[in-house]
Amino acid sequence: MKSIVSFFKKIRDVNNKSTDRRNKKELISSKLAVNLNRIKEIFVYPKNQDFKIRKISIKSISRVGVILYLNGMVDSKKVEEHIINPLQEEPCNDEKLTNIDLINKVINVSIADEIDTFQEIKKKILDGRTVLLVDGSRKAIYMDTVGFSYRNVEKPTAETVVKGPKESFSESTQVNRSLIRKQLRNEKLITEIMSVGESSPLDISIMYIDDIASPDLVKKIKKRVQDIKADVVQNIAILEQHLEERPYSLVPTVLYTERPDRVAAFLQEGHVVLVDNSPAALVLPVTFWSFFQTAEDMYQRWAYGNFIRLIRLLALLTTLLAPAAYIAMTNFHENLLPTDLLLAITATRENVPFPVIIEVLLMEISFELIREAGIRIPNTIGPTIGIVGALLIGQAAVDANVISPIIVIIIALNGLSSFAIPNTSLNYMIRIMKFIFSFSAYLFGYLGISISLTVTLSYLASIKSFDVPFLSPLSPYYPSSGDTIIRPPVWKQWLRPLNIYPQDKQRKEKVEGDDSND
Amino acid sequence: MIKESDGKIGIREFVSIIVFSIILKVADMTPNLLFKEGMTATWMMPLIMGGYILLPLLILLSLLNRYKSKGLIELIYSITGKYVGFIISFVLTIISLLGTAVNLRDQVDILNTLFFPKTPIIVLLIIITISCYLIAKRGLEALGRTCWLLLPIIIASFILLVALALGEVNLEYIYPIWGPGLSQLFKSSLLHISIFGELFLMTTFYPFVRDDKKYYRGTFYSLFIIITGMVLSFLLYITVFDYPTIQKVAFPFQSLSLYVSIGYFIANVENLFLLFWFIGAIMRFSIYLYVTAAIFAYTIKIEEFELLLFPISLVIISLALIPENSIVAMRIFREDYILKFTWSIFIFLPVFLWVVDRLKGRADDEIY
Repeated sequence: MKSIVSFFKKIRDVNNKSTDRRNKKELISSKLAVNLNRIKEIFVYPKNQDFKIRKISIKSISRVGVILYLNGMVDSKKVEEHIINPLQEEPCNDEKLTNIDLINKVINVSIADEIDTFQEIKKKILDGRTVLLVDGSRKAIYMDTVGFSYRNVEKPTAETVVKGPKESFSESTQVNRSLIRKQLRNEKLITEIMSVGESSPLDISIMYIDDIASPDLVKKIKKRVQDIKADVVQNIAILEQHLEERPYSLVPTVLYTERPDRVAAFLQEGHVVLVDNSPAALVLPVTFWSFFQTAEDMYQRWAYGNFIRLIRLLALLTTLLAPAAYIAMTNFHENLLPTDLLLAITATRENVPFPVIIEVLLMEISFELIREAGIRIPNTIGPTIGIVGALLIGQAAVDANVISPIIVIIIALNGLSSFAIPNTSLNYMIRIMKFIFSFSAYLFGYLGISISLTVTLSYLASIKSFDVPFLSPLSPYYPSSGDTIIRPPVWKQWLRPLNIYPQDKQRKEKVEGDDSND
Repeated sequence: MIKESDGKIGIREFVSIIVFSIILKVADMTPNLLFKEGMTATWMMPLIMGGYILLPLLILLSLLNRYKSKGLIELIYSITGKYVGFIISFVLTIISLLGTAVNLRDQVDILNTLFFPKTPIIVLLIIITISCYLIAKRGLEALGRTCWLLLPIIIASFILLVALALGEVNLEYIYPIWGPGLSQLFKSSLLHISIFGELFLMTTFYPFVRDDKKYYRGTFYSLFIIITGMVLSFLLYITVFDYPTIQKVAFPFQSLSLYVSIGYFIANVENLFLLFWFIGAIMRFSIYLYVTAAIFAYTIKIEEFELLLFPISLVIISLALIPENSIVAMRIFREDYILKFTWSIFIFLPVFLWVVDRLKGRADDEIY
């Protein structure tokens, strides 16, 4: 018994100690050897071969120093040319030079500053910076020498457009931020950096336009980021799940986008954007329309942009309702079908041994299977999936009288429509919901569909993303440019959507013009 | 000024809620009740009823305006006091509860007769009540927003129906224009005034409407939409089906939607109308459920009235099961018990409140 008690006590002590260590700030001493030992302990040197310690004698102050960095995180050429060379070579022989003078006069790196705790040293080295410890100084100097390798800026893969910019985010915060700033040259565009995660912190850049984004909103988002209690947050996709308000809901409340131009457009409306070393950025708060719209709607001319939006709306409804409507009509409401069509359907179903719901489920699940396989399959054997799928679903199943040809039409249409839903999260939501709709149609026909539709709508109407109602500005109504299902011409969009509570409500003065074509 | 969503609803949502709660009566068995009385002049009855309720409604609204941030039930309590207030509020609860149950039964009977002949009534009742419970549980804000989203669709489909039915219209069917005679028309309109009763019950949510100045306007907008919709649909029923054939048509709206078609090829537009009618009906009963729960909660002074939704749903299901069949439900329960009893309440309650308020002294400083 005693041993158990002491065991728990030990655990508690260990826990306390570790939290103590995390919270306590350890100051750097003035003795280089002491500092070095502590740092070696932190980075498990010499076991860890990637951790580099380079001793140098600093000529300008005639003292010894140590350069610390992680191999692979820094640009070693930069370290050599801009830090080691100047430190070793520039003779000044003025012992009174301080660290600040070193930064100002000797080191040729654009970003450098003083730090004074071991925690900061650890963080800076982990972030890819080089740290210089000088003997006899209670402060260390860190220098920006980040040199990760990352992809070049490539074309977006999930959000492609025909007309418009074709850049997407890459795996580097620097690059991502520069891509955004390239699109949005605004002196009020602010980047704040916060770190998330306890054992290996992730730096997140919070970007917003200072005189547009609502201060309450920014505060709320920062608080939410701060409140994340996680050991490791690996990247922005995981962060998205930490940030959202309803983890079990089917409805996404944070937008994950890989297009810098979209991010710039959202920033101008007063949204807040989170960026890190991930090939995407998070936009919050969002509404249903952010998921439904694409960048191209705006780039195409008014008529074309609205045309593709209406097509997409149709696709969304088809994905959700096509199988359900088919089930409802054939099971409950035969009298609502035109007689010829009803006869055609019955004739093809004559030899099929399954009820409609089984048929639909069978086909839907195989289609989802093809879809998932298509993503996971190695590129080299990719084309096979199409052939197998077409054979399996199309010809063979019909010939074997397992399913009726009409169901192939419905599922094919349904599948095609689902590809037209632009956002991945919305896509999953609709695809999962179509099963619920099919099932309710199987139970109660049109009544079932109506019930599911109304309950879904009322749920969508009730939820909020960071205090912004999900279906706003349509319902509840807020003044906006009316950019929801269809959009007005660009020159008429002079008002920011007020559901995001922007500080500055107008993009520009209202244009007095008429709609005539002359 | 733009406010963050604060649990209150705007004027648009408020109007949509009222419209949804009343206008869909043209698609249940209410027309059958009215055509029995109004004959060829039934289409005038909504206008006359509108005239009747105008004065009591104005009185009620001015009282609500005086007692700021109080809903109907709180108003009744603060004017008439603890005991009388409780009795009146309780009567209103009962009216709302019975009204919901009987209207729900109406709806289920139509569904049962036309679309689900093999499904037991209790199953339909339960499934509809569950969905209404789920919707009502999302709260007043969600109800208002959903109604506002759906209102344009419902209005558009109604306009489509009218447009399509125009081909079947025979204007001569509206003669004799005064139907049973003016005096009879005015009398039966008065007796059926509780068709508009939701307008009164809805004042329970007076403090939840964001701008109380707009409450007046909202009420009249919705009254306008409802009366226009009713007049149009009754005109349509009478000119398409003729009197007295209309009395033999059990479900005028559903029959009308079956009647119309877009050309030869698209003969089955009723698909569309049915879907919207179902959706509208579900919204309507969600609103009824919510209002009933709210009135009851205010009556017994409970803050968290969303907890009451579930027990009230159960009560509504059991009440709706009492009538043996749809004729009993409509003719006896709805007409004889509810309509004939409640019209006087909706007329006299506001007047009574006003008089009591007057007697207690208008310049009373206690009122805030």
